Amino acid sequence: MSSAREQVLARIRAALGRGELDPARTTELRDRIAMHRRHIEPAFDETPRQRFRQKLEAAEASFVELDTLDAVAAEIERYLEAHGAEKRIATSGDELLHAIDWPASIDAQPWVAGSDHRVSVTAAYCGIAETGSLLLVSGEKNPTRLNFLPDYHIVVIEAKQLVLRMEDAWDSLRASTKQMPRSVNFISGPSKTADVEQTVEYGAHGPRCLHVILVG
Amino acid sequence: MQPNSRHFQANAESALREPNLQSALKQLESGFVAGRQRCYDALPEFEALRDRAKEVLDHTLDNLDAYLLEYEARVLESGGLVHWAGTPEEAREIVIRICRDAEAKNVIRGKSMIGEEIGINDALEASGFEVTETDLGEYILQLGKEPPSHIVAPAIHKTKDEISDLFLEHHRDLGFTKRQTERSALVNEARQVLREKFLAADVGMTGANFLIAETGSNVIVTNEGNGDLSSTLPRVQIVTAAIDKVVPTLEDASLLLRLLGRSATGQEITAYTTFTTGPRRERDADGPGEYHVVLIDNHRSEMLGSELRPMLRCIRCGACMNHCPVYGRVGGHAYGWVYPGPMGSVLTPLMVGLDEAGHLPNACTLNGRCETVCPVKIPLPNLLRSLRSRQHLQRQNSSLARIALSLWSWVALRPRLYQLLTRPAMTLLARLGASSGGFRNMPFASGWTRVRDLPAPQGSTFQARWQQQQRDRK
Ligand code: SF4
Repeated sequence: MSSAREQVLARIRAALGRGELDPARTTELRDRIAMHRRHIEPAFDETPRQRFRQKLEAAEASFVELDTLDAVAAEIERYLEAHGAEKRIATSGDELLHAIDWPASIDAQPWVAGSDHRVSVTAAYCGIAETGSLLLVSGEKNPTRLNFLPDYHIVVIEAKQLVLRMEDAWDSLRASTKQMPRSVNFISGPSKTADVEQTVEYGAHGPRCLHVILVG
Repeated sequence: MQPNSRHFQANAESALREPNLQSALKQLESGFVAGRQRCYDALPEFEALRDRAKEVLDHTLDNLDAYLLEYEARVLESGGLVHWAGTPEEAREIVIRICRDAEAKNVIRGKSMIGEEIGINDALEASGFEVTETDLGEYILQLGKEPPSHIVAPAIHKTKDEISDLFLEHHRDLGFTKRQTERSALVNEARQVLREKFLAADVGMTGANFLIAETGSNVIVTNEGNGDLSSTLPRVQIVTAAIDKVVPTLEDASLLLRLLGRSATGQEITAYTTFTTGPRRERDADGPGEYHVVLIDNHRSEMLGSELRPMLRCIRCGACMNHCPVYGRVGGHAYGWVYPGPMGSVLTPLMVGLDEAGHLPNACTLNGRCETVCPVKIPLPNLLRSLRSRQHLQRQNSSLARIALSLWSWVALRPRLYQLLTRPAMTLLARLGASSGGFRNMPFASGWTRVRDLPAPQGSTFQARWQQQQRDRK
């Protein structure tokens, strides 16, 4: 008896009224994939920066703009104080965050397995203006769980990392890595649910609060 | 889950008498329906996106075998495994085998309709695994031992009060002894209980909104972040997905994502959209060590070869049910299986059989709203019509209905007789219904009006009015 795989494929081919595709057609389909053809990309009037901020704020993320990285640590301290959050944070190992000069009043540690911090600071790979999304990718220095486990998620992103659309992010990723990172997270606001009587509540499973710091 | 679709009529009747369900369903208009409309109005490209989405999905279906093989090759390259299942039984066996091989105890699930379709929870529990749903709606239903009543908002029929009771009953032993009545407190309590489950889980199961042939990725779209925790924390990840979820490229997925959130909940994008590819890489800081995909057919290849092929474009947004006047009155449970509303009325007869679900294609007024809002332009009313004619050919509709239809067509083909019979009846009906504009009860047709309101005719038949107009013109 042939395997389930062969049976499913055979049924699909029978349904399509043909046998296996010939090599020429298969090559055509591979070419279609390799073209990365973009589809309709909705226009918007705002500048990318405006749009990015507006969309994130509309999704209940908080947002600040800073001129330089030097100001980031003070901004984070202000934010934590304003929320009454503890000043003990787990950071990702991202290069961008190395430049932050943490004051003695903040206990900032790179994440290690088993840590249970309630505040995380990570850096975005890029930001998508169209939808107001932060793109975070997993890697050696970027544990995915920092985007989902803490109560407060603070994301630092440089203005030059803003792109217009998701499609631009794909091109950028293709140019920078050979293989898709294991986790590619588009984050467009704090965690929420409307499962109790169709009314939105924040902090379902992921972060209750998302704070975006745009630098430059 | 055992299908209960043959009792659609009785289910629907009792649903109409449930005040809580009725008020939840009313809220759909101001919530999802209004949200979608706002998105639609704000995006001039919406119709163009729908056309393109249809085109891309039709192209994919025409070449489904090839794209599935590309997808499979990319998953293998990324270190993941692909398992093929023709039937729900095969899919369940594969999942259980993976869990056993991993010596797992605790399984957490991110919401997925295919999981419901193959009945994975019961199967895992019967094999001794502890299974926890982590989507809040699904979790509530798991506690209440109920099936979902909507594909996007599964617990839409539950009131806050009922949830308070369920939580108290099930969380008391965990130390949550106070009956919470605020929405935020309920959400918070579930967060704490489920957080422990996430941290203790060996296997995380999710579905896939899309599979990407280009990269071997699966895409999940959530607002809660539960799918992401399920994909990240446990040491094994299992993705269950139907064969019609594959799309060629990341760009194709981006196109569909622009339609999905807007059509489903009126969101341009959900809080989390995640592309996951394979297990954790050698140097990755975290992520599961094993990544399995179970590709499931379950009658889809059959649909592919029939006039129902367009149904395979479905991206499970739920817009068709949100806009369906029948769903809007009877809710999801009346349909008796996993998929309700117009899309369910097509899928259920195909998956559980037309003899079990024969009522569903008929539980439709053919008003066409579902087709108008469907982001991938599935001609749902036509598909339902074609199921009706399959049914007629298989002589599965009731003999009374067959006789009545034949009698009606015999009379209707004889205009003079038709006029003779209908005119006095209309006059009488108009008089009877004049005060309210409609009937709650109509003599001789109580089978129809017991649970429906029949609008009163406006005084004369169409033919009589047409003739009157022709006379007036002269
Ligand atoms: S049939 Fe269309 S409207 Fe209904 S769930 Fe599927 S994609 Fe959405």
